[in-house]
Amino acid sequence: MAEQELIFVQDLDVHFDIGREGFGKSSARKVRAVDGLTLKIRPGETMGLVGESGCGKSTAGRAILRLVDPTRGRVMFDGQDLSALGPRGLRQMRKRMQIVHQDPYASLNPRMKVKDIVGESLIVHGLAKGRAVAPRVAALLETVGLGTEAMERYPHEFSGGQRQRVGIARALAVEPDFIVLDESISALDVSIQAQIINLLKDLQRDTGVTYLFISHDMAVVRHMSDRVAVMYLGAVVEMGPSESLYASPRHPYTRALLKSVPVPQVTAAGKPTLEGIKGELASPMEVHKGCRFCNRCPLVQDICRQSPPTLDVVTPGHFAACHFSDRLATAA
Amino acid sequence: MTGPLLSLRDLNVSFGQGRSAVHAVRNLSFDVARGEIVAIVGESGSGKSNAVLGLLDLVRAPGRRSVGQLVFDGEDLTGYGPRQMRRIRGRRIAMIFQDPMTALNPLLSVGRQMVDLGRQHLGLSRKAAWARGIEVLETVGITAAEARMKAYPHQLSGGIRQRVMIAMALICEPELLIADEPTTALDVTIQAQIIELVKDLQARLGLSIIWITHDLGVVAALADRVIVMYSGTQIEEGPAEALFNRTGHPYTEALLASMPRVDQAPDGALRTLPQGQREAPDGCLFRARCSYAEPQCAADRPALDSLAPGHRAACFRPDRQRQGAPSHG
Repeated sequence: MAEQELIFVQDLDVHFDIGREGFGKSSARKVRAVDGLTLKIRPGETMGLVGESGCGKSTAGRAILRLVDPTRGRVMFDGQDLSALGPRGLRQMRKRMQIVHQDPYASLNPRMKVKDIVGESLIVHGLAKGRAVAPRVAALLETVGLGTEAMERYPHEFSGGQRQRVGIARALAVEPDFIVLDESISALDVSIQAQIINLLKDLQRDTGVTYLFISHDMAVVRHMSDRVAVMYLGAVVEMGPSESLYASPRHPYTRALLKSVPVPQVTAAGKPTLEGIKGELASPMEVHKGCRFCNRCPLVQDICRQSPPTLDVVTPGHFAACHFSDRLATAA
Repeated sequence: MTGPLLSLRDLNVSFGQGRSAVHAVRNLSFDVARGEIVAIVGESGSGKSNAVLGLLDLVRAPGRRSVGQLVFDGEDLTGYGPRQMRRIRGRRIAMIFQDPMTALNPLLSVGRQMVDLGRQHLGLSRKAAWARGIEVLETVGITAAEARMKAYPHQLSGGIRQRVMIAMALICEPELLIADEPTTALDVTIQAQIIELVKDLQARLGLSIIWITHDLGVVAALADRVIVMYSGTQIEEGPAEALFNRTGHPYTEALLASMPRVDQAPDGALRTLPQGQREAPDGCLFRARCSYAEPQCAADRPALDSLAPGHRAACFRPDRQRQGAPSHG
């Protein structure tokens, strides 16, 4: 039997109602933030989830933790269906899964000292109480590279990078099996970003924690992830091991994304040209009859406008949802 | 006319008084040649944004700005007051910002804002200003320009809004365009479109550009010459090719090595800057975080010395043996 996955997301939809369309019409308008997402995450790996703003990656991360309720589909966590759990059961599960947000200013209570921010989750989940809390917090802060003097300080006394370390310490407090990192390092300067990336990788090596690493930054995702899923308008269009997805992308959207990223390198030949991609993201309110990428795709054919491609195997473990992924096999 | 389009010497911007004063920009000096794209790169707090605010005399009180010499197109602007600077800004030196929503008026249509600019700066009639607005929208690759003129800023996507900003900056045919992180808030595919547009405008219109960014990837795609800032100081300057391939300053080297690369498989941990005092009180500013620091670095402050024609770095050991330098290209 294949290795049991820790997370199994099956056919997940998250639609948001945004009121009715105009006067006298009855059809409710919906934003299809996540639209048929299927994803498996293995224990101890980092799954990168990458895409542009509005592609649904953050909503997907939140729905996996049941921080928003899915419209359809289910999320299995270590064999248990999260949507079937009541409040008590869900609370028990929350001990095993955590999230670190993008903005450490907004996600840390400005009126609480760091020892209380980190200690709170220990107490809430019954992992420590009374005098036992402080030494646990001190150990956690040390793990993320902050000194114990940080305990008595408030969030505003820290820099952005240090604050993000506090957020990571809080997530680690419950010794989770799974952490969703939602653009957790995007707001940091590159030199600080590098420190946090190294910290996250060290923690994973030491504890075996599983990450879902959500980011718009293709370079950071490559560095962090064992496997990567590329999202476009609510669905995964390509997924595979990092090396093969970056070395030979098989979906035209992934290819375009990669060719849009400016690389910090200049040759004697002069400035590189960024090939990029035409047009902009279509509205997530539209219902897609054919391929969701067809209006921007350089390879578009009639079939793409008629029938949606399925996420098919291109090489073992590597999937792409494109009618013409074969053509990209050699073109890379 | 020969000589650089812009020549700046000893720009200082500071906030606060006496011992608690913060020196956001210290003795910044550089030239911009005609048709050249100069990138100013640095992390947050490096003074890169204050550098251009100081250049344009837009530093707000209680901040203070002083400039040794500022020459633009042969005209000495050094002693110019606010009125005289206003005649230069917008018209001959235009600026675009990171967030077009704060720079565009949300209550007025794009066309109305274009017309206002054309009438005020160029003294055009309403009709002529409208035509000029359409012309510049087409210059920046906006289709259906007539319809876009009638739209309000919130009706446009982020990428189109940034194009509109650039179009507005072009109305007066400026010689110099200053852009402060204009693509940072955009998605990478849209950023690529804007970068290629700017390169194209530079080539077609012969614009000179100062582009402020924290992203060395964007620098590589765009810049002819690069200025690296650290803690208000210019620590390295040079042609892009030299700066990326024969890096002079250890800070520039560390920045490059700490960036994950989209085009290379990861090779162990990223190099990080040692945590340490950001700004040493004496000697080299960077020495507390520098892995090459030696006694001389604490004794004297290194000057911006020439390494090769046009390439300068403020380091005593620009010829050092590189530590674990990544094998770029």
